[in-house]
Amino acid sequence: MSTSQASNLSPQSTPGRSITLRVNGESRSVECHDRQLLVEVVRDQLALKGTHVGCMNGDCGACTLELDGQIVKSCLMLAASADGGEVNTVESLGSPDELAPVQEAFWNNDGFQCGFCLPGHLFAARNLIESNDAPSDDEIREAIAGNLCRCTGYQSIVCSIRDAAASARAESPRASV
Amino acid sequence: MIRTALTHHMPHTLREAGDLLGGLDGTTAVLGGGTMLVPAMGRGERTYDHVVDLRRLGLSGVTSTADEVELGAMTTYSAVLAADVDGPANLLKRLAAGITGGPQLRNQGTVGGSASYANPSSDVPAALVATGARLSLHGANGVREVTAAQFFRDAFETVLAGDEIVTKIRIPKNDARTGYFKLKLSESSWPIATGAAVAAHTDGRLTQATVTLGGVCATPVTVDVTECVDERGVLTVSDREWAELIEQHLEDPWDDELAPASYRQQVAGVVARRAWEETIQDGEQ
Amino acid sequence: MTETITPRFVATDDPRPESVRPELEQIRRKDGDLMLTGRGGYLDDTVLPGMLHAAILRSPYAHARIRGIDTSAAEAASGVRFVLTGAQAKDQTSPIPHYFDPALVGGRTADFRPLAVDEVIYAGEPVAAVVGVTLNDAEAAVALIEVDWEPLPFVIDAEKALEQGAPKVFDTWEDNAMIRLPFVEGNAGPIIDSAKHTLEGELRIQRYQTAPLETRGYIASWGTDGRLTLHASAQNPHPLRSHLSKTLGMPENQIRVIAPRVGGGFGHKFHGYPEEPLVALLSRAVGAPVKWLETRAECMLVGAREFIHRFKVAYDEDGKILALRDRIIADIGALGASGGWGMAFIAGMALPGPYRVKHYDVESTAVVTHKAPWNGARSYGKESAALAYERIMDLVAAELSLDPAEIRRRNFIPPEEFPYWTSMKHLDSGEYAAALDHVLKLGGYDQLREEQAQARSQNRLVGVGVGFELTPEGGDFSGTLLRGFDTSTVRMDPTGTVTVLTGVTSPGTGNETGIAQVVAAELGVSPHDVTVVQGDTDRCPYGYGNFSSRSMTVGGAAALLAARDVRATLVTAAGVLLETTPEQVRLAHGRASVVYEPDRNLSIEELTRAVFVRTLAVHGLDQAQLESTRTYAPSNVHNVPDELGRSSPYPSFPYSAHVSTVEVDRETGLVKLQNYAGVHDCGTIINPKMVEGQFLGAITMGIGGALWEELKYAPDGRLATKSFKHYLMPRANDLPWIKVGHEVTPSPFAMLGMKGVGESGVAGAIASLANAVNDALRPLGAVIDQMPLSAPNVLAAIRRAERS
Repeated sequence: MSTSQASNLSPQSTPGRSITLRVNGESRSVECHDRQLLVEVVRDQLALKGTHVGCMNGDCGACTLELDGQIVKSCLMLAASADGGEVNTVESLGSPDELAPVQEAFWNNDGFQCGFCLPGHLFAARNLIESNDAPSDDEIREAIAGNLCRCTGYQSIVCSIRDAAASARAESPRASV
Repeated sequence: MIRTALTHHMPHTLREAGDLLGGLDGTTAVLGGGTMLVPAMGRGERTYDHVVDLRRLGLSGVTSTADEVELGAMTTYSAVLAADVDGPANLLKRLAAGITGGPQLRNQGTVGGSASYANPSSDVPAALVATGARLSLHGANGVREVTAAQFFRDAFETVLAGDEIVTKIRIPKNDARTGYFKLKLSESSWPIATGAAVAAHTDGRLTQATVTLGGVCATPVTVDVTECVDERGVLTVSDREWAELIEQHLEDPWDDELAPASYRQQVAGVVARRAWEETIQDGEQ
Repeated sequence: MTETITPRFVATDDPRPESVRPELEQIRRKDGDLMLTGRGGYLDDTVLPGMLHAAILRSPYAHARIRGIDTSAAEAASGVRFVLTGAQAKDQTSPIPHYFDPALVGGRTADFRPLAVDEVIYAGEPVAAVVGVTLNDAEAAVALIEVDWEPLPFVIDAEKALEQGAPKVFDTWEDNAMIRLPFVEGNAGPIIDSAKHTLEGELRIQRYQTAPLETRGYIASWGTDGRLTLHASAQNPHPLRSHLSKTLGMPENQIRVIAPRVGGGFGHKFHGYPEEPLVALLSRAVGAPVKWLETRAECMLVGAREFIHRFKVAYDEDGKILALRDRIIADIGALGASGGWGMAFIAGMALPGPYRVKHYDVESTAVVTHKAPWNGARSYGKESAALAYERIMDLVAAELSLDPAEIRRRNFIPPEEFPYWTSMKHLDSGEYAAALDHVLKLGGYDQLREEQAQARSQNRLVGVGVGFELTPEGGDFSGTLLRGFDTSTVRMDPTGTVTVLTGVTSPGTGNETGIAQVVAAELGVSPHDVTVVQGDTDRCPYGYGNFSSRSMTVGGAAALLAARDVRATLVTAAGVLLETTPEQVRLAHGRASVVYEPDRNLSIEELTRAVFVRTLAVHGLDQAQLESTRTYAPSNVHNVPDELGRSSPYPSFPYSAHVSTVEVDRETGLVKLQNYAGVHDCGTIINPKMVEGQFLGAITMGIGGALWEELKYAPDGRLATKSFKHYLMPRANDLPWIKVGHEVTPSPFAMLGMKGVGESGVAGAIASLANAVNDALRPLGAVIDQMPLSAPNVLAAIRRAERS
């Protein structure tokens, strides 16, 4: 059910509605304002803080999540546009006690430092490997071209994704990462 | 954050959409992929009372007939990349692969949205003009069709009336060879200049050579370079003469935060030439 | 001075670098499990009950008088709880203390407030603030504030600002020169004037910044007890607290600053910003927590690195630099209280780099202009000096047809001359030539030159660029709250878990991991069992946070000293319990065992429990706590001038060598980075993977600044660069594979021999690329001395050469 923080929403005349989303596998009904972005609703009403805001302009990729099976920058969407959709955030990839192979790969390869860009990169990585489990370095770099990182210089991220791809190949051609 | 008391509308039919666009009280914007409109609203640069969201209108998809390729206006770059497209429309596949912003942006940005936004520093407008695309505009009063060349009026300005949306884009199929070249300052950069070259053929002969420049002026500029090439498409003029010809066609080159007008002017000829050179394969057209 | 400090808190003056304990365990980055699963806990993730949101009205003018301000419409707007103006804020505050007050070193200074009162001196300066139920409401209301502006003449160019009659940024100053800082040794003037070989040149470096991915943010809340808590994405929580107490006129111990996980600092999050006290005032006024988040466009306002160098050198036939003169102009914007202007000082001080130049005459002038103030930027002016001395090396090499690597070898301070005094630096140790040779080998220098020759024969513009940077680290500025020492507490519980509370912070650099590693090795536990607490002024001992690559060097060393104290108690107790001597106790893998009879052992947990439950009840057990607090300061700091008047605020001097190749498209000016290799010497390395990560990140930041990043101003005095669509940062597909190597030349002055990691790489990358592009342009006779090396700038240089 809804865990909306309706008390934080402004009173009266700001148009709003109830939207339904399947969030990380669970059906959620959310009260939101029409003017709210998908990333706002994810972070505020859904209290999922793993999706980050770095630029509010679609440039940095920190807000990347999966909507209806595609990776998108959630700061570029109104929440209302996603009504009825299926949203997966970084919280769905794994938990501290049970990390997904792609998460292990990033940790093993020191693929992050401050961690702010990390959730977005995890989605870009997973998205690549799902369609290509033997990517070249160039293909890896293209796949993360929508994600900025200011700490690592990307090289350890490339290593992480190489490793995650190898894990996927080891399991099976279409294994989930 | 978006500061207005915005109302979101998601019509399911073109009729509904038209009624909304024509009939709502207050300012109304069309919401396609949202990649430019949403952040602009967030910064208060654009303010609207209503947005009409085109997502549920079934405007995506690429279909091919014998004579043309038809793209729904809401077709994303990813969908273009995945589609089977032949003929000059292939230029769209070329440019889709190079769209700045990563796979996410390719999933969200749309061809019709890019056309409607008419940003000089983008790929789609020049490619549509180069390929002789026609755009269907649907409004409260019905449908009309315009050529891409007619569609782009000025920087960020098209012939779309307040109640109109682009529904589909049709690109003719023919034997033309195409070439594409894009100049950007870095991977983060939007295009500074693009060249979409079309080498039209009839019965195996090169009949017309054009290059359409994007990013260099407020709207795409098509330059007929037929006189500058031989029957194989090889340049018969020097690089300098070529550049001068191109530059003559540039009225008021575009100036922005990324590069001054003088730079665009200086590189226009190069970009056009490199785009053209792609149409020549193995020294022959 | 420090007379009252007890021996436990003074610097170690033991110059022997000590080796790392063999029990040191490498682990993956601490908190990786949290960051990977979206539980990072950054500033914006903090939600306090009843929290409200602030938005700021900023000046649209570079310089203007505020004749009046009408907030009534804003106050009445939907969802608005409070509006604050400059006059109101001024009544409630004292001026914001400077991060580094220019007056301390003889410069002019000014007072800065949370909001402008009568006048604004840069576009973007905060003028008023709105608190709303939602951020949307607050931002909407900002647009409703009416200001009666009187635009005034402004200047946004440092050279113009120095001209006679230029509009003054500060009315009370005679002109716009804030300070002129000389760095002089020997007799450079006469030597240059009489030298047979001289060359001169100019370098112009653009304004740009570090642009962390997480922008700044603060949440202020007041307890019913009157205590202020400020959550801040900040690098130096304790000094921020000290400064806030002055600004707000309240006792420092009634303020708590909490820096949560920080998504990148790089100097951008040094304090001194108006928004820090501002959110406190807003929160107090509305009686609820108030959050302010910097937007990306607001973040872009902050500047750094904008310098002009005008240099002249004298050299001999062998390429030895005999004397150097450099006049540096730093465009520091409107000064502010934040930590940026000091880069003008360092830009001069860091010359002549790693080179043995006995005669130099450098003057760095910090000039104020009507642009947003500087704040710290990784490399902190060293990148500016490095660009100058590295371009000089290449220019002289070209004059003499000498290989650029060779000329550097001839000029390096040789290893046997360390420690070595030069320009306010007492250099600790260095094997510069070894680092250079290593990088040339790593990068395949000879092969690169061959490839270049081949490319040139095909008329392609390929360039090879060497860059070497000397990176002073660990700065200690007495008279300020920027000190070179720091303090850590190590504490063990009866159940054997370990907590380190430290005064240093980590904006993502990962010192928690390194600290956990060294402490764990001392105490015989796993680093996984060591929790490192940083950033909370209530819990952590007073410290100076993160700057100048110090966190592991001093915070880690302090933790190590404290861990050794705790260890001493443990091994004494273990000796009693295991019937041996403390020296024969080994602590490892969670157990205390007798070295010569390992089967005689007990678990660390049994041992710690025993300390607490059996102390004073068993003969030999007399320690009641497993806790120690220690301060560590590296000993190579010379804040008191010596008999020759020399002082050196930096104790450690890591360095790095770089070689890169580029290809320049002569028709478009576009620079393509083809190859890159870097070798780093930061002394002893605790965690190789992390050190490499820092180096790669620094190199990439340098590449961005060299090739693409720029904060541009429009003629109307406003910043035109507002997003990452304009501010072009490096992306993964911009970069080639970067080869990295390390040398280890320990510092004889620092514990464990560590010199500091984090900044080295930025300057070397910039220098290497500037040299590579210029090398590429040589066949055209073109020179580019305007940064960045963007396509338009490079094409302009090519065209200039073609015309002449």
